[in-house]
Amino acid sequence: MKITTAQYAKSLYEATAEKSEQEVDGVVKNFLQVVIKNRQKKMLPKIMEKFSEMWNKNHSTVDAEVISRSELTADQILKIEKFIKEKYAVSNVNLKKTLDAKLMGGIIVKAENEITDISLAGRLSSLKNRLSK
Amino acid sequence: MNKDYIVEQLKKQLENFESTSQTEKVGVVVEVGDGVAKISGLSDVMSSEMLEFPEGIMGVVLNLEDGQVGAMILGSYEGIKEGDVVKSTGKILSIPVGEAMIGRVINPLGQIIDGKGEVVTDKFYPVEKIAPGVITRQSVNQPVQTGIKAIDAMIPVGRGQRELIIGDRQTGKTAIAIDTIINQKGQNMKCIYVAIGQKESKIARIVAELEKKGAMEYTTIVVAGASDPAAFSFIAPYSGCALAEYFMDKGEDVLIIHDDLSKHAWAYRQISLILKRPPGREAYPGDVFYLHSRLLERSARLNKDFGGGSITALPIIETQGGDVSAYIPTNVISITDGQIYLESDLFYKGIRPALNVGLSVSRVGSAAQTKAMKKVAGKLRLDLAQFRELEAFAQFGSDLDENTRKQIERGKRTVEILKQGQYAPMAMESQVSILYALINGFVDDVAVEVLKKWEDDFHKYFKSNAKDVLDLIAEKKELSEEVVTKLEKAIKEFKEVYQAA
Repeated sequence: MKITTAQYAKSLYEATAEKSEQEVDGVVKNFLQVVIKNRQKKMLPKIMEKFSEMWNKNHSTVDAEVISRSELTADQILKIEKFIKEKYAVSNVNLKKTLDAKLMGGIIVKAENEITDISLAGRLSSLKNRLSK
Repeated sequence: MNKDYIVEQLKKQLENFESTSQTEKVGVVVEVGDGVAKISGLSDVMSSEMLEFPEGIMGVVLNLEDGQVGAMILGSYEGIKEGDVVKSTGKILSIPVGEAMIGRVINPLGQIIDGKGEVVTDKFYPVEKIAPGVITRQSVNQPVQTGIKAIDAMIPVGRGQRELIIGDRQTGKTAIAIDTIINQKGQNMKCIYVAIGQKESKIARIVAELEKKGAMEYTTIVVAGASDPAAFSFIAPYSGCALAEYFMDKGEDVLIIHDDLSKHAWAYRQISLILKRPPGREAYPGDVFYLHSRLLERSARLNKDFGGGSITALPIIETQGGDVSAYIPTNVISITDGQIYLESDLFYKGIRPALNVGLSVSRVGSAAQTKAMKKVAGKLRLDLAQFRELEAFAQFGSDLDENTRKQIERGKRTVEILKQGQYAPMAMESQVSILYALINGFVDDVAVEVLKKWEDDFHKYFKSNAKDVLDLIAEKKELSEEVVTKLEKAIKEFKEVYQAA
């Protein structure tokens, strides 16, 4: 029977749960050997995706990205994290910070297939759409 | 209009502009190929929901798969690349509809493409909609006058009917449809011509011809050209139908022409194959029957309680080498309420419209035929059927008995009278009068070679000297005793005048 990516991810998660770092190293090595032996190396990117999804779910974590024009202050980042935690009802946030000068001002928050655009560039483009109608 | 006004308007717009920050569901393009994109992410997206690609290009979700969705792109897909962000809109694909669409040329998204300025409409109708149910319908009871003698007499079409026009390429399918549109002037009918995968030159010619005849006053043309993406061809008939439904819901009668559904099926086949749906017979996907049945089922005659509007559909199918038993023709024949069958043999023989009267049928239209027409049509069918049986003998004219010879001569004249030029639709009363003259033997002494000229003069004479008889037929719509006497008198008078001249 074919093993699906979800099954791989689940077994990897279960095998690594509550293990020390050294143990995890061994488990991951074995896991990779099994995948390669089954000639399913191609599935690895998807397995990684599923694994992180599963890990996030069980640890009440969400991966998020915040894009801003310039470096955000610690206070601002705290506020953004609080916003995300409330919105997705999670206790931890993995926040990735990106800089993009094209935004002009404001921020864009990306999390879980969703995007909250409160940047100046985004508002200008929606104004443009409105006026061109 | 002056500068200040524009500035004022701009200020007003800006004042009202509020940009609320809202969270949007997004996905990422993982694969693009020939008008179809695979997108990952986009959780909670609905089937047939509109998507927004970068630069305002729209798309429609067709496939919901594990972890990704398949969508067709409505617009140029060259600029879309892997990794582009796609937003979901939460709206089902719909097009703007309204009175302002009449007389315009639009694309399947409802955008004006004739360069005569934008229109503003406040109503939107969904492109895909479930057809009216049983309780809202009634059977056809009012005719659609196509203006073509052979069709109005022998294959009558009623308002709310679906009558297929089928034939090889170059047999005059579009000509019949266009003549029908031209003849709807003053008949209280809105017309929608949907061009699917047609040559732009052909569409331009049709628009010019309709404008010349004043038919654009009540006609909308929906265009998915040959160079537009297949997705446009795929949604074009549904868009046309959405516009038709708007008028039907207002209680009006609408005529919609789908030219042609073979190309529609090809477009759908292309999209389906790229989306990796399994191919079936002739490589069409399994739901190609439903593709056409759900479209044509939307034509209906609503009863009084539901506004009494109607949509009459004239779908066109192009056959390859006269093969009506191919997949798509058989499907559409079984969906429609009859077909008008055109043959290239007849066309080259000079019988135009190249109607095969034997194979053409109208399953429900006779209920809607006017009484006057019904009376002349019965005999006409009989004459033609007998003529076809005896046609083979026609070559040995001298050896036949009197009766047979008479029938053959009558048949030849019937065929001649049923010929009709393009862009020359004829009013019902004129049709009735010439057909009455034909079946009652008033034409038998006119030579077949000069019959065309004779008929032209006949109509000219009636229009100038016997207008009252035509008006009487148009008004009464039946051949009562009184009408028949007047009609016969007028015919006899015409023959005397003609002989004298």
